[in-house]
Amino acid sequence: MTAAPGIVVLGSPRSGTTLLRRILDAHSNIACPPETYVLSAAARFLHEEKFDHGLRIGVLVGLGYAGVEEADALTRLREFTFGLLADNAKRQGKPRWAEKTAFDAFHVAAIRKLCQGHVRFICMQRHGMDVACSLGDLVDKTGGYVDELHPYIRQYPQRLQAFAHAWRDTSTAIADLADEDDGALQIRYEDLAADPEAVARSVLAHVGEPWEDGLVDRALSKTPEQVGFGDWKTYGRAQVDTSSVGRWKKLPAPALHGIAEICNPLLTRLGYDAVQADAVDDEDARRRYELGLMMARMKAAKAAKAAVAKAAKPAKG
Amino acid sequence: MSLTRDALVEYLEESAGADMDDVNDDTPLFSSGLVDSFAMVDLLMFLEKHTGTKLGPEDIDLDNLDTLARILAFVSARKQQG
Repeated sequence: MTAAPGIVVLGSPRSGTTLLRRILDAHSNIACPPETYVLSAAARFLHEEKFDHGLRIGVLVGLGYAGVEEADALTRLREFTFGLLADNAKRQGKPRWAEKTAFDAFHVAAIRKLCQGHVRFICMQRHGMDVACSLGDLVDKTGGYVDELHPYIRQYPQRLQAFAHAWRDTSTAIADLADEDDGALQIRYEDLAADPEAVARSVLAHVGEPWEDGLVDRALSKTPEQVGFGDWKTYGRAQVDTSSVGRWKKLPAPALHGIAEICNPLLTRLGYDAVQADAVDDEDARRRYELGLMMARMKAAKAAKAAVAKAAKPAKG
Repeated sequence: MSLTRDALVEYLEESAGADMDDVNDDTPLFSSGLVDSFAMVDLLMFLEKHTGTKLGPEDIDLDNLDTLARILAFVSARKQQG
């Protein structure tokens, strides 16, 4: 009997893929471990460059000169990477593996080359402006930028704009995959947050697994043996909610305008409404700065007042 | 044109992203965290444009700005001052 194909979850980092991973892993037939980086490592192995005169350099071309056919090299790499994931599933007593590593989204072309036709893809999309906000949280939390974000930060010194560009590139590649591959299903984080069971059912139908009653509750209540890499926020929640949807609406107007221009074309393609944000002229920007200083002054005065009130309050007992 | 309560609530919902469902006229907005500092600065810009006046440091005070009722009263008073 041919084993059911593996499942690969792709989504721009901070798109809710860890929540989906936990739901998949709670299914009795699917083992989806915390982020392994196996596929992005394989993608780096496959990295190649192409020059103006058409010359490609990289491992597949290089091995070709050593008599190894490209298809054969890919098969051996596939057996190695899929084998690691299948071994984990076997250890969990489950027949099928799934893989989700958020930063795989930066390596979609190579992952397609390796996996297409051999796995079922789940393509997760989320509103790009919420992704940009959440990437800011990630960077604040970890205190640094992962390698995949370096080119964006170098090119776009305004952080939210850098993250918006990263979202646009990764999510475009993922949307292209969803459009072009019959083995791919595209879902949206907002739908998963609003109705996790309905989306989980569609995912399981796509990968050919039966629905299991109580799956979502089991996924959220299960104490993970290995938290591993991945989103930290999902572990703090006992139920799925939509509190992380629409965070971008609280961005200051100039930041909103800056990223709306970057995100709007792809937002529209993915079925979101384009965001209308007016440009802020120099005079408004200066006035905003002045008002921000006045706000800071008000906050400091309020804090000082509270401290005085606390000091004047007689101690209990 | 006076600033109506409905227009203010709509502004806070649409532009500040505040959840105004359970907010009454005396619900603290800023001191409760319902409206954050960035959104508050946007609100000040909105109020300046609406009243056609420039706010000074003495105006930017929770007594004037922390609830719907206070904001509406403040705007009304500014309009009367011309």
